[in-house]
Amino acid sequence: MIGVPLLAFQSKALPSFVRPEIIGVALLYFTVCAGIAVWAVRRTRTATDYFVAGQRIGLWTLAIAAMAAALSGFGFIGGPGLVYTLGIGAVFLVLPASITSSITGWVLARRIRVLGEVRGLMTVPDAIGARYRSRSAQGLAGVAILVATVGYVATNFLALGIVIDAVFGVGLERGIWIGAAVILAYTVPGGMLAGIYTDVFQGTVKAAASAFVFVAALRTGGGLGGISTTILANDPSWMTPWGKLTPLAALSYFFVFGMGALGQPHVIHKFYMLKEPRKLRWYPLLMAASLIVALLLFVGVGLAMKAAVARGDVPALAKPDDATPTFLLHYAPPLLAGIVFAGVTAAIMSTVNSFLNVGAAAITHDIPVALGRRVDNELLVGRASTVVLSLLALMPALKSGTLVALLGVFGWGLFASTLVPSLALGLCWSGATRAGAIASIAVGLVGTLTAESLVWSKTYAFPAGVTASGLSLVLSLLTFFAVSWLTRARAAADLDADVRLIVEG
Amino acid sequence: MILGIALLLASSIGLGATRRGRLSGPARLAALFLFLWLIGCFGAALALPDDRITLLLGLPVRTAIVLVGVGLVPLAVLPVLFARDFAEDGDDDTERLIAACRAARSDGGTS
Repeated sequence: MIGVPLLAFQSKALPSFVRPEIIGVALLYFTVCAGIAVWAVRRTRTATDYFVAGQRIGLWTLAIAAMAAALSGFGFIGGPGLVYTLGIGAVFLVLPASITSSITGWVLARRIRVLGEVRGLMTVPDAIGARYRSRSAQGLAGVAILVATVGYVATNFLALGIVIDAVFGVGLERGIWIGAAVILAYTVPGGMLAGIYTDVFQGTVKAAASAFVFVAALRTGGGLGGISTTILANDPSWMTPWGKLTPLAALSYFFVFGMGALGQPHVIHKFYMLKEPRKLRWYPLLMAASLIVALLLFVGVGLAMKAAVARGDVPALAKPDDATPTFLLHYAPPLLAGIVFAGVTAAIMSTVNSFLNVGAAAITHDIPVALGRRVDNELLVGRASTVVLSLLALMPALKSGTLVALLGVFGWGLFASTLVPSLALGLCWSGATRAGAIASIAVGLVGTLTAESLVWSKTYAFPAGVTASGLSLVLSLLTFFAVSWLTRARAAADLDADVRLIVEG
Repeated sequence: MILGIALLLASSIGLGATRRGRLSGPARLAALFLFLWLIGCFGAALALPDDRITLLLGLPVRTAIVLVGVGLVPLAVLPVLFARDFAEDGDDDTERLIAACRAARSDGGTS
């Protein structure tokens, strides 16, 4: 089976884009981000402002910020490269996007929002602690989020360094430092309040860049029909529904990314921030529509580059990550290339900001709560934790390409296997027990780390169609149901009266 | 596997949409639609012959069924049914739930 490492990028350099127009757009983008951040930082006064944006955002802000956080640089660089390499089968990674927002709406949105308001919650592990009346479950979920966060942030710091190096020609290491400094400049003082409004701007840039490039991509190949005809004449298996993957492998990705969406804390966390819960009515429509627009580039560039290479317009790509940069160099005017690079930067920055926030909350809030302690000044410690977390992520990003690759593949699977059963299913099923939640989080944490390490180190290869993330998620789900059933006598005692009302809807 | 994925995702809707032991009409329709739609689209992609000549919406037929059928069509159906389900008990139902939770909490209760 062909492995699909879900890193933002899979290489450590992109073709050079040092051009005045692109540098100009990039500088304009950073200036707007800085302006929004300064505005938001002045309004950050409490831990509630810092971790949940003061609980006063509107629906459009929620949906676009959630889309911006959900889609990292992978959607713009790594993803199109995978489509170029694996064919249509790679689209199975993003195919559930039309479904997951609605399922998240039904399962989590209203429950998390109400639970947050009634209990005054700020973090995703808070919700697990409240659901099971368990500090241990909350702490364990905090640890899982922290481990996954360091990996995600490290890979995205590396990706940001690569983009900054390609645009400004400053070198990879300096690019990583500059990127981290820019993100920290607004994340440390402004937290989620600064993050959420920069996310809206960044999400808009991302969606606009994706839509423009999709149209340009179709034009280069004579429309979708022309592109299909060219590819079918040269590499017909690429255009089958499964591409170069087996049907089992493609469906396995659909399962992992379909169910896994219910366990992504950087998206779920944003439900706490909505001012008026009744506005959730149109959340799935806005979130799914904006996500699909932002993903058009993922599919469009992969198709266009495959056709361009087949026609002989451009030489075969040296590495998959070159798909988007090569497309921009050959087919896009410099201004559009600048917007796309701003879009890539936006994708990375919005994701990093959200992860730093949930990771800092785990350090400041969830793990101390599990240990029976409370931090006195959560705002101050939250800011310090953001810096510490960034330094932890910067070390592998700067030092080791192989370590950062290993950390990067953990993220999605770790969130899915630890949070989908305990949080998503637990909030809908009164039969879930504290023991079931703790056991499933532990199995998800250990299972994902072990399975991904075995695959990454090539110690063990799973049969075709079986992914480490998928296996860990299934094991965690089975553990959750089995242990909850074995301890079913405790189910009622693990549920407070107000939480029972939320679980029952 | 197709059956399992369709069942899992559709039952997630059923589980999440159940309110006070009841599943509304729009939610029931959404779960049923998703279950049958996924089986239909993925099943057709597996069952149909590998036709490399005929194009549908600019794509080979089986590929179009997967990309458009699974990747786009649910966007036009599920969010609309979600919105109808959300409004089923009135726009103030969430406020009702918040008030009920607060009352339960002030009554001091753990169950």
